[in-house]
Amino acid sequence: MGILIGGIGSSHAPSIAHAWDQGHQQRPEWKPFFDAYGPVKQWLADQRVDTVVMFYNDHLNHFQFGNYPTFAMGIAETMPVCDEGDGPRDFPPVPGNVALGWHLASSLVADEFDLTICQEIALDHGVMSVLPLLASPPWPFKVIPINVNVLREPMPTPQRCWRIGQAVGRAIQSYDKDARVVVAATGGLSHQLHGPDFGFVNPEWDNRFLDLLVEQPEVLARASHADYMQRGGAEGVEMMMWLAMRGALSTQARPLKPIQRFYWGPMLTGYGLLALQAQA
Amino acid sequence: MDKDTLLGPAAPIRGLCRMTTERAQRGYPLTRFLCSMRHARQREALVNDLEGCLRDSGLSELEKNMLRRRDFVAMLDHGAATVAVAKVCRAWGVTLVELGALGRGQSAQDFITERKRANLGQPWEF
Repeated sequence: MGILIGGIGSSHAPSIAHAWDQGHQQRPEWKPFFDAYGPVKQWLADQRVDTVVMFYNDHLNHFQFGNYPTFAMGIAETMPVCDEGDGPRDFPPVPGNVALGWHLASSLVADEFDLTICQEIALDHGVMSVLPLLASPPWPFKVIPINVNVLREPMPTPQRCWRIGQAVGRAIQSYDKDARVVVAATGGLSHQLHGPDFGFVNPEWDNRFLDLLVEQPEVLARASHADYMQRGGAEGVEMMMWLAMRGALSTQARPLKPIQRFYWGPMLTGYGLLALQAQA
Repeated sequence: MDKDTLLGPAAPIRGLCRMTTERAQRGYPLTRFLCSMRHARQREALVNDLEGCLRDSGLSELEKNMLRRRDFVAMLDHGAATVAVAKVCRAWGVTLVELGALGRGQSAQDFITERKRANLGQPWEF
């Protein structure tokens, strides 16, 4: 029986990976950020989570615009780490949950989400900025990555992200084998990486987003891409991926228990972390 | 309460360049070339023999000139994906902070100073 344990939202900025690889975990400016992931890492271990379904976006590392999906799920025994230009980071391949992956894929397509299925997929910083903060190698859980197009129009709407998350939540609970699953989403928060306001960060919006995501996620689902961009910058539109995580949790009857919430906006990106427990 | 009220105020972001299908179509060749910088051989060619690298690129003269001038702002305006521009920046050793500074006509240090000033008083300052 598939059990949806909870959800995690996290930024995936490449600066996180850089700081991690440079060993900046104890530097004063980074320590609070990295320390914030400690309780979430412990929670995943305590809850014996065996699979993380992770909504993220690839950054033209595995996928190219020549063939670019709106939603794509990775179903593979192992998934290598992308070479993003400096060689792949020094992490072992990430194990996939093939059996649950096919169940999710079948359920989602039956639910009219026509995914691209990738039986070979390499993972870039959309997954790998975050994964080492949630677990240490050898990876203690399997990952089912779901790439969302947030790079090129036409993008899926926030409402569509919300609904695919709901479909994932239903599919996890209809799985007839044992699985303890967390749904995660990465990306954001506010960032604007072009133009005269390059570097714009909007902490008021970022924190309002986190509030709404917990309490009134339907408001965020009804918002347009322009609503997101005009508050969190053009590249901040990727915040809508968090709605997929929250949509999955919306299929749970029990109240959500907060595990962690953290926000930091030091320079070019609002970094956010949110973890919510749905079931013990 | 209506959606706009709940979302809070829009921010006065200048030069917000939204993705459009027109930009996607126009920017595709340049994005494809920029993404080729994922490969070490292409990065070496770009750095050591730019003209040779551009010769077989299939890019227009307009696009080639953007690369000759390292005009990242023009590339983005043309429709190249932001993440693709970041790949050519990495090949040339241009950091994200330097990219931001270039786009604003500032030195990297001035850009950093300005961002820190913008963040003053916020709870993450320490």
